Amino acid sequence: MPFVYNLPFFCVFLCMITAILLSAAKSARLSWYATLGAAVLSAVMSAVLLVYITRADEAVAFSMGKFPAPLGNEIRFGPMQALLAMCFSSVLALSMLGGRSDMFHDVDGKKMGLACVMLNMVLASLLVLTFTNDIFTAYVFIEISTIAACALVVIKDSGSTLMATIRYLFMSLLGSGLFLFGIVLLYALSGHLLMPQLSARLSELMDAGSYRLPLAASAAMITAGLGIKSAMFPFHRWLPDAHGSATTTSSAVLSGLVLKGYAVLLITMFTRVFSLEAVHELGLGTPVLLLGFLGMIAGSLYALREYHAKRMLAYSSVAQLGYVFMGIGLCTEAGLAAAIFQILAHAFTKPLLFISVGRLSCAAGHEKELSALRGSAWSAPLAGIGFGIGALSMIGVPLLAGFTAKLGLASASISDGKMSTNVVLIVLAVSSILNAMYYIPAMIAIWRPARERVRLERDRAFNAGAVALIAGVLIFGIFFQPATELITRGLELM
Amino acid sequence: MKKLSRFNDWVDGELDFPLSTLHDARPERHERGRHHSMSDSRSLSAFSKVYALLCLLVCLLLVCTLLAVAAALPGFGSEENPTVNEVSEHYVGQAEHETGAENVIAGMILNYRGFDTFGESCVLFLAVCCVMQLLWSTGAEKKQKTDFGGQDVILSRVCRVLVPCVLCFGLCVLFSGHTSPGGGFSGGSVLGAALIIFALAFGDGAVSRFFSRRIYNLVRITGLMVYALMFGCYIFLGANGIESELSRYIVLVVDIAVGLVVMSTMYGFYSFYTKGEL
Amino acid sequence: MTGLINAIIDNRYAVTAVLLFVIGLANMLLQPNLIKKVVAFNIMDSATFLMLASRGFVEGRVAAVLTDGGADVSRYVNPIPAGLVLTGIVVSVSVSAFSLALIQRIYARYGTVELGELLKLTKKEKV
Repeated sequence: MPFVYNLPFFCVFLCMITAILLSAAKSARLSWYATLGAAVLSAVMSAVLLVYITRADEAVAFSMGKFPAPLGNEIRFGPMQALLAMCFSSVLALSMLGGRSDMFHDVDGKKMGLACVMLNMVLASLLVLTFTNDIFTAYVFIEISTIAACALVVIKDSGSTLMATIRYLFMSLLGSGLFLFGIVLLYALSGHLLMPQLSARLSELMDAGSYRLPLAASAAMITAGLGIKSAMFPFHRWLPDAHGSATTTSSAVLSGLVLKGYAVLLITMFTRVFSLEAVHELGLGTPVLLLGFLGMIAGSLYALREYHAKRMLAYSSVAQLGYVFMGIGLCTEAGLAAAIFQILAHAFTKPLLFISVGRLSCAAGHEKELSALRGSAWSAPLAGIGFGIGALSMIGVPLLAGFTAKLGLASASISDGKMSTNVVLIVLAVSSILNAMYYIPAMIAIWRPARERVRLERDRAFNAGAVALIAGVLIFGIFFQPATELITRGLELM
Repeated sequence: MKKLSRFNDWVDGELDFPLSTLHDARPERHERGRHHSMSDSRSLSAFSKVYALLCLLVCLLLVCTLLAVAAALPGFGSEENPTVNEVSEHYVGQAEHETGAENVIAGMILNYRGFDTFGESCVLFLAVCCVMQLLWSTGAEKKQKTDFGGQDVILSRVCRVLVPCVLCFGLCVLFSGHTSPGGGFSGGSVLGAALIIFALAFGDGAVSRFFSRRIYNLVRITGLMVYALMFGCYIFLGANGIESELSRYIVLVVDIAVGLVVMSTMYGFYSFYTKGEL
Repeated sequence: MTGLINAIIDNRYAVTAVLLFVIGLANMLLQPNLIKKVVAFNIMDSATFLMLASRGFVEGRVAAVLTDGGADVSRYVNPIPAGLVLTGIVVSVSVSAFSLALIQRIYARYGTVELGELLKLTKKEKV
């Protein structure tokens, strides 16, 4: 086995060891830089892996220990996983850069080390959720990501974050409880925990037509559990409080990445464990599709009513996750590819919006009401441009990532050739209009001619982060061809 | 009847249990007058009633489905259960040979499925970090010290005999994890319990004399780092097909490391809950 | 009818686990008291562990700690569920510890652990 294939395991262990060491770090700056370094290093390693594995054009199972499957734990990665890992790590690093000044402002210096522990652990859990080939490992790392994500909300110490965190925590616990019960049912029926063996056994059961009800129940519980955790429509009520009240970096990471980890895991479960035909046969495709539709519309409607900029962005995440679930609910390869592209596009766009709002609110005295942000873009032009590009991408203006994602979803539904095509297209159009209805006024508000400009200190970290994220949005909008090819190939190799 | 309603109140947390004297320091609850909460519940009632009804419906639906599922599962205790397959038989048959552990479960969680267990130790570590982050009192809001230590003669006398016994038992469980029931998690929690009793009997000062913040961090981080590095080497060697005897020794070393982590976690929880610092 | 009853008796542990799971779930959704929500979550997790443990048991076999009998496969129950339950318990302990710490902070700040009152108090705080 080539040495390069050790890199995913190195990425995961790098993040975990950094987290362990940082838990006793005294210096806030040191721990911040160490976390940034770990994220950048893991992005570089994933990039190397991506290049190599795309050339080799294969998916690799890497046994975590001496004993190969079905005895020991295993991770499995192909081009798609490498791409996701690279994007997740780099977006985490860029969100840290973009929210740097806010983070040092909001977090007690003594507790900065602990905050960085949480960031590292979030990244480690995201990587494992992307790579894992074992359902119980997935459960353990779901819990790691739950705890670390809740702690990321509460690092900004205020009354509203405490309440937001407790609601977030209880909803997440509900979700992981359902997921655990679902995988226990799967284990009871198959006797395996590793996905390939599990999948072989399940397809035997499906062919024989036995245990249909337990299988359906377990698939539904896994979907519902992961759905709750990634804010699928009726379970989204915890999200705006949690993402709206946290510090900038946390909001960006939670909205842009943590939600996506669960969605990626759901896609892995659907393709690698159940297989798409089985999901369709068990009757799960349509509910997920419908909830995706509802999320797209309802999230935007809620966002329309918000006057708090960060809560507006949080509700918009509900709508964007609706797109992801719609792609998954189509139950076709094209739909899943579109969903994954949407995950990537949103992973770059939403953090860009959050860090831009963070910077703009710096100019407005750390107020986050849209009324307070009026005209603030003149004091922080780059943040204004970042917000503008992010908003246009969310609406779906061509040449930006959001447009490509929507195009992918639309063409996936057309190639599907089913009744749902018309509905998908109509819902896509309506939700784009709704997106425009709240993003454009917000954009106009922040670019309103301002009587006085606030003099802000230069923030190099923010500039670097924002420029890189804008570049990401543009790359995924213009040169999307390689990415879509990688994703399609990755799904075939799953 | 009246007694029953008082009991009900106590279950609901409205009433202090008559014997409990530990709760004297609780803040007043005068804002929680009964008519007050009733008028508020009326304003919220419309939403909460719908919500409660929906929840009940969902739960009823779920219980019916799951009962049907439970009845349809393969029978309890039979040998034809799908979970009794070649994997579990391999574990029972080969664990002693391959991992050096007579306790198959310890061999399984620390060796075959060790990555899960490493994740699990990280969950514990993360929980301590979160508790620390939440309850670590920053200068302004220093908590009132409630140090009962050394005041109770009976407790301290009993503990003088008890704590060494508990410590010995904990060490026994910890070191014999690979041959008998026990291991890092159980042994570590017994050791943690011993530390907690010690702190209760002789005061927190007595513990921090030999288990200060620095030593605490050192123990916790060393334990986890030993685990992480050893296990990292094991994965690296194993996955790349390099022959080594590591898998035969990993159980013992990792068990002790896990024990240290669990012990410090338990004591950390106690310490942060009661006084917000170490 | 007797078939159904037989199926239930055959899977008595699974049925109990399912009932406990839904009790935990319902309480978690409906309890207004935060501490009770944590208890409910623990009930839910324990129910799952009961389910898991009952899956590995085989009548007449003993726990998978090798004794004098050596590694005779047909003498010991399936060790996998035991290991998974161990992992699960540790995870649920950690999560409980985190939520209790959070509740302690909330209590120190607002003096109550009732969700309804808390929502009211935080609403006031915002205005």
